[in-house]
Order: sequence, then C-alpha cells, then structure tokens
Amino acid sequence: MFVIRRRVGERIVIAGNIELEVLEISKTRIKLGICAPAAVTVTRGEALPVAAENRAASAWVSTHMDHQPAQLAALLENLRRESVQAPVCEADQ
Amino acid sequence: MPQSCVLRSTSLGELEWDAESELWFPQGLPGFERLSRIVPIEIPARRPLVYLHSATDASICFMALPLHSIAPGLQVELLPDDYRALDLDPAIEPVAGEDILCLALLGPTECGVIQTNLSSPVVINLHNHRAHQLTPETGPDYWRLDDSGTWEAVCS
Repeated sequence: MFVIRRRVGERIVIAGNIELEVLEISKTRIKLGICAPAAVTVTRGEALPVAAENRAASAWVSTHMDHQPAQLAALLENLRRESVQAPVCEADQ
Repeated sequence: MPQSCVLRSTSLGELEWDAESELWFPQGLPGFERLSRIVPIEIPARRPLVYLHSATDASICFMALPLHSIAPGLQVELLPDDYRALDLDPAIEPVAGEDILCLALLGPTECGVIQTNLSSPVVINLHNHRAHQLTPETGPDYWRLDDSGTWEAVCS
C-alpha cells in the first residue's frame, strides 16, 4: 500500500485525471473532495457489498416475475391476514 | 399537466406513469450509480410489495417491502451525508411514514432463499421524492424468509 501524508487543502492525483483533496479533518473523520471523470465510479468501501446485493436483487426480480417464490407468497398471505385481523382486535377492546 | 412516461419493462410489461411520481436518487444506488430516476409500482394483488423500476432501463427492477412490515419498530439511523442526499433538515428528526418511507430491498442468497439487508434500506423523502440507499459502516443486518413466510435474523 502506498502511504502518503497530507494536510487540509492538499491534493493527491491518481492516473493524471482523478484528484482527491483533503477538505476537512476532525477528531475521528476526514472529509475528502473527489474529482473524477464521469466514467469513473466513486463509492464508499462499505457500499461494495451492497452493490453486489443490489445487482443480484435486480437480476433475481426479472427471473421471478412469472412464478412468485413460495416463501414470498406465504409472506404476503401472512401480511394480508395481519392487516385484516388488526381492526378486529381493536373492536374487541 | 403532468408529463406521462411510458416504458416496456422486461419484467413488468407495459408501464405508464406520471413523471411527478418518480423517485429521484441523486447518487444512484450502489451497483447502479447512474440510475437516478426510479418509478415505484404497486400491484394490488401483491401489496405491500413495491417494485422499484428504472424509469430509463427496461431491465432494471427491484422488489421491496416497507421496513416496518419486516421489523416493526426498527429505527433507521441517518448520518449527515444521508440527510444531505435526501435534502432533509438535520435539525429535525424525520418521522417514518410522515416524512420518510423506508423500503428494504429483497434479493436472493446463494442458495436461493429470499434475503434482505435491513441496515441498507432505501429511504424516500416523502416531501420531495428524493431517495437514497443507506450504506452504514456497521455492516449488514441480514434477515431471511423461511418457508412459512416468516422473517428470521441471520446470526453472523
């Protein structure tokens, strides 16, 4: 890993066209400004697993529109039953 | 007069909606960073499922459920960046159902079980239709759907 020390206002340039600037440093966080070409995707590290989940979720929807998974059908039935039962419970009180 | 939009979806067929009903994701979604316009769609027979369909790409669609239908009482914690993305006033805590709506995206596990990550819901500002998916540093909170249609937390 390439390690470099920077102060507020100082920049790092990657591949000649991606610039990172240290905007602010607090006790526990630093604020970075990033300038990159539109084709370069910039994401937080913690968003990477969510990105993989989202891609899988979108692909999964298109393959499950015709036949709804049994667990999902059971869930919707449970939710429907709960929403029907709720007013009955209120009336009993 | 609201602008009417039409798209032939690969998963939902012919879609027609008013542009005003679209959700605006200023940062896109993780994995779909250029996806900024999304149409929320409900199919009456499948309520409370919500389909979040791209307004521009016929093949991109997500399935979601209101967070409270999976984990009633669960509070989402919004960070300053989330307030900014949603254009919410950081001085006022938004009320779920009045100011914001939280939707959990549904997806598959490797073995085909339906799963959701409750720590990364899509949050919608109900006042301006801006939306944003949370990606907290605390990591995922996976819940899986069993055969009886009941959610179970996945122990890590």
